Amino acid sequence: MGVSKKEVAATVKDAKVLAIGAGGIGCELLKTLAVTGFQNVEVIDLDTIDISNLNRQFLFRKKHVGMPKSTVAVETVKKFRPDINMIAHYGNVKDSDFGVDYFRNFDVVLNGLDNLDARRHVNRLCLAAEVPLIESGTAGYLGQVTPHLHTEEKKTECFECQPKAPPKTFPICTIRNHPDRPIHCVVWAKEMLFPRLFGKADVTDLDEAEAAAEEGEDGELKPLADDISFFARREDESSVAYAERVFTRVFDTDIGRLLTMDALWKTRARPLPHSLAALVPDTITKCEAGASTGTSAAAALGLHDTHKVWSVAESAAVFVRAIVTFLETRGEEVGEAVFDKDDKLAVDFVTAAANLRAANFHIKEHSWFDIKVRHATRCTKPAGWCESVEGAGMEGRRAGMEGRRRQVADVRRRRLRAPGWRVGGDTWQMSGGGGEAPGWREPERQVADVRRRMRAPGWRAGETEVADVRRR
Amino acid sequence: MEDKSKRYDRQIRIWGEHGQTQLENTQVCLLNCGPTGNETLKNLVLGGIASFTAVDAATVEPADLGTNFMLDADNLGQTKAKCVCGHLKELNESVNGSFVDEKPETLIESNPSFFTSFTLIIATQMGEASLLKLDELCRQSNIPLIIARSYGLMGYLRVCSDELCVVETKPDNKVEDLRLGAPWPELEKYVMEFDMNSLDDKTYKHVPWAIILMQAARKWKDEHGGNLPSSYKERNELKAQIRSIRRSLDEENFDEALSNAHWIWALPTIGSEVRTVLESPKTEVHSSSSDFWVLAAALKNFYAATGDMPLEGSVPDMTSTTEFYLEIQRLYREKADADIAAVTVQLKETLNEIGRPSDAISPEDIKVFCKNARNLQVVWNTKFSEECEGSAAVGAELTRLMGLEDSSANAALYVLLRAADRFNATHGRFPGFFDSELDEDASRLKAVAMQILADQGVANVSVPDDLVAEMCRFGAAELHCVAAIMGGAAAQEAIKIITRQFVPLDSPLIFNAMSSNTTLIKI
Repeated sequence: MGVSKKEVAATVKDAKVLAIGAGGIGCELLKTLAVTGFQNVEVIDLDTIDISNLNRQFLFRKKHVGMPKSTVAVETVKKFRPDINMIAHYGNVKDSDFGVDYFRNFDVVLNGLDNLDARRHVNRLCLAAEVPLIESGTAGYLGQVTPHLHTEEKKTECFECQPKAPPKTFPICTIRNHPDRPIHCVVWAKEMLFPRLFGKADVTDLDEAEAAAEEGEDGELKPLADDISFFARREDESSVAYAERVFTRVFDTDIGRLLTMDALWKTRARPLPHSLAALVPDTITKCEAGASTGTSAAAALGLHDTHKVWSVAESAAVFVRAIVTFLETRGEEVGEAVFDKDDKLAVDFVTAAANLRAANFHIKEHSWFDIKVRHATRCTKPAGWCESVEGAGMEGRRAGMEGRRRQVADVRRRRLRAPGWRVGGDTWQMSGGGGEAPGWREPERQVADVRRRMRAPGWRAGETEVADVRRR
Repeated sequence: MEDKSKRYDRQIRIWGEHGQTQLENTQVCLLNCGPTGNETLKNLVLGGIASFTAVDAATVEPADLGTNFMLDADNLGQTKAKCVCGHLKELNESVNGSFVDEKPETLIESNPSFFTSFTLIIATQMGEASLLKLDELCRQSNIPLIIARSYGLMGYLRVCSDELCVVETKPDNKVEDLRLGAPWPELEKYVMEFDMNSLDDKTYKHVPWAIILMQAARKWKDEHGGNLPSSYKERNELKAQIRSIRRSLDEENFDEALSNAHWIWALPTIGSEVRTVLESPKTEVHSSSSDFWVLAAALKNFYAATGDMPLEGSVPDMTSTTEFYLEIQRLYREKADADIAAVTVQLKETLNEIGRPSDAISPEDIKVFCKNARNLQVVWNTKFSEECEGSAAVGAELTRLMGLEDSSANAALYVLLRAADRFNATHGRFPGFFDSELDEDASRLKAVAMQILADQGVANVSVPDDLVAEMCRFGAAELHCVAAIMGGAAAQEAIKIITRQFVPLDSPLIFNAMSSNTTLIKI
């Protein structure tokens, strides 16, 4: 067949492989690489282990929660391949440490990433270093594996040759002044309000764009909630008083200001302000009643059913309690906090805020579960099998036992597809479509950038990007 | 409890809590703890099944360490099933696991009742003869069986089960149930009373496309004797009429109306799968009929009475004012609810007739059934014995596949796999096991394969020599790469069967790791 068994075995043993990502795909991949006989592997991952990873990232155990994925993965692999030379890098592949020269060390690069930005970055490095890249990804029941070859002998299209679907964007003035869909409210709560209370207080581009956006019908509307200083806690201000002050400002006073802009409401229903006093007569009691868990405001208020849609009064109580809990148990994070979909308290806050805003604007409210799953987050990988197929599929391609390599079309749904059998069944849509009140679709306008922040301590996405209200 | 929902969060998003519950009630039996079996079971254990029992008589040998990541040097000499069981339990502490230190073949022969306590059986790396017996056992007890095999650079996967009735098939392409060409009375009234002409330009731009289309459809019907446009020409004329009432060119709603105009004449149909369900004799239900068939019987009556399926009830996004859209949503939701209520009435009558309590089926189940009425599917797999013993259908399918460029190699591999099993039955070893006999084994194997083809009535085709040689070269090795893929696919089918969502395989599947593709042997 052209290649002897010995030659294949030697090729595999001597090859230097770089695996990027030690998550869903990464775990499967590292395991398969190890068991197939690869001897020299490096893995880069910037993330730490979370409980929600354990349903598929099987190199990790409960005791590892909080630890870096790359190091734990390597540790586990070494248990069944003690002699393997596998090196873990707890870091970001976009760091300058991993430049073209670093990539040139490898015979092949294998992607197990979960975002477009990093994929592009790696693609360019592989092009520059002329190292083959095997791309992969999963979403729900769909998966794909695509080789991109960059050597003199064999060139295929690169990852960026095919345009990728751009992220869904929303006009900023809609978010700020006249939302009409639940997703607008969630974006507002997550990208605007949360950072203002708990995150870095710098002006996000959501504010900067408003000058351009606020022309036309919105007239001379002054940017709302623009004075960052408003959200700074005052000296001697109790956490309850702070929460009340914020509530009144964003759900009452600001709405009142909007109501004065008649032009906005000629054809739209006029928003309704909320009175905190009417909704939650005794905020202090609400903030002290029930067991104080520190991790969830909703639970402390007895709202255990994540599928039940809260009443406006319940949302108001959760809103206040969440702020108070945050300030009192995680005060050191104020000014630094980043929204994390697995942070219960953060999701409580966003759900409450989004629902309160929805109620302001006569938009349908949603349950905690729906907001977390469909609106505030992006669906990541499903249970193990897609990854195992991915990992193994990439392996088969890499080992190239026959010395045959084919360019296989990169088509998301056609990988490993036979009539009637797909890698996966239905498309698990990440869109927020269906069931929401649709929007006034403003004509294409400049859309603000939202600085995205990643979870690794002290690290953030360097560039601003086109507004990505991806649920993260 | 809290931990569990966090742990399973990413998968619950796919199959919901009801799917997860099914998974957590499943007891799996795995036969043979090689890489294929381990990978399959690993995926299910991670997902949270109730329990598993691993069956394998082998002890751990050095060669195992090279392909099986659940084993390490400390396990040498120990019972393989025990070691694998221990490792799997580490992957998910809430899953119960046990092992049986026996050959699966022995259990099938001497202790068939062993298998009856499981909800699902997964048989890996087993030969035809024992599988036939196992399949018979499983059929008698109505337990689904999944067969998975990794053989060198190819794999085989098959679901063996009595009919699998799936409500939540979740098709890739959602067909909207809008009935724009035939609105029901309340919707018709709303649309007819909707006065577009009186609206100012701003609001005009935000009339939902559904209303634009329904008004256009009504107008056309009035002018054409009650008929909808039926030819390409007529459809274009209708679209032109829609264009003619535009006030400006930047009306997104009109753009949407034009691109969605087909919903006027593309009235929802009843697909062949659903027809099969409605026309099935199983809708003549009796006291031991499954809920699915009782619901199907009610649906059949509803269809007979109204001429259509229950309205699905959801409405796609539309450029619209909030007020208009909410109104449309309300109309569709109310009609869907009314239809569900009507089906429920039928259902209670049916339940009564067969002597079951009228609340035997929950409102939630009725609702899901109605919403998925156009997506119902029953999956029938040919009996394994028919596949092995051969039939006209098998012969015809093999002839077809071997004649097509895209599938001939995989069809040949299918035949070669069966030939390899027969070779093993004759010679006590697989072809190519000894390097020194590669060439002879190749000719022997080819002869067996050609015999199989002849038995199936497949004439004038040959199994390619290079594939025969490959098959021998494999030496029946279980490669980890291939095992991981087969394990993933097998686990996926298991999950579909357990959660009753998505459509499981209805035919044997061949995976070819050399060309990275699959073929279904549709028998």
